[in-house]
Amino acid sequence: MKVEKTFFCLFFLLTCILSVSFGAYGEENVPPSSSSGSEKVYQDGKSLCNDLSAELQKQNEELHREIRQLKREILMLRQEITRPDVRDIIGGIGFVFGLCGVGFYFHTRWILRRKE
Amino acid sequence: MHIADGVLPPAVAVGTAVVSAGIVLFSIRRLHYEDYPRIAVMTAAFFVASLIHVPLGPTSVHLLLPGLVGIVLGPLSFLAIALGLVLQCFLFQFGGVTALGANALMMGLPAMLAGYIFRALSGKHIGRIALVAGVAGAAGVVIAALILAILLAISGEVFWGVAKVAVLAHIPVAIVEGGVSAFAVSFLYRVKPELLKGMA
Repeated sequence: MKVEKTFFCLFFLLTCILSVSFGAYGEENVPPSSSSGSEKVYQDGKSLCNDLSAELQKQNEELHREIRQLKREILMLRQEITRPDVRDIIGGIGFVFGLCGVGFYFHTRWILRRKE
Repeated sequence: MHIADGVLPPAVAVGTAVVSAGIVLFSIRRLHYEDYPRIAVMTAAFFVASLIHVPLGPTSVHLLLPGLVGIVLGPLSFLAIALGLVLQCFLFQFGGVTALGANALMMGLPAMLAGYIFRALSGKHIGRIALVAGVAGAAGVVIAALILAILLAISGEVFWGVAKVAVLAHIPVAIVEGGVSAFAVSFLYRVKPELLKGMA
């Protein structure tokens, strides 16, 4: 009887000690509460949607700005490529004087025919 | 300043082409072989001047030389400018093929008018000659810009804004052209005055 009593007291004591120690360990490993301030706690889905759409709109505007800049640069490059070179200009002047020479040639032939 | 393909309605393109062809034929009938070198030089000058584009805000402009070409060539200036435009169109695709007539009218008529203004108002004193040449050159550019605005306005409401910008953009060009014409003609009067006596 005495042995059983002692055993039950010891078992009860052990149980108490174990429960207290597990409880303390559980409390130590609880993650820190989200009161650091960097994360927002959304109470409802609507404010989360609004924030997300504002962020998307901002990124959209930045993308549009960059696309406009790219289009401007493409236009400037196209203008530079199609601009006539100095060789083209000199060639055109040569064409004009060549036509003048052709005109003189036919006029001279007409004069010579008249003399005959 | 060159009008591209597809801007003008077909009726305007055909009409201006017929009128330009008529004026070119009229000029060819008054052509003598002694005029060939002068026409060649003025065509080359117009060719080079209208190839060099100066950016001005949203658009770009170029010199037209209506004063110099009109004063030196007189009635034959239309032929020289039409020839220069044909070469630019086929060599560099400047200006559309269908708009050749309109472009020739737009740039050739002011040159002829500048020549007439000079012959009507010039005198013997070099100062008066330079002043009248400057006024003729500037007036030529202004008339060309107005013709361009009228042609664009005929083409549709879409081009009204472009027409206004074209006229405003050519005001500084008119001032520069006036100066260029005044200096060039006064130089020619001192060095070779027979060049300014007119042709035909």
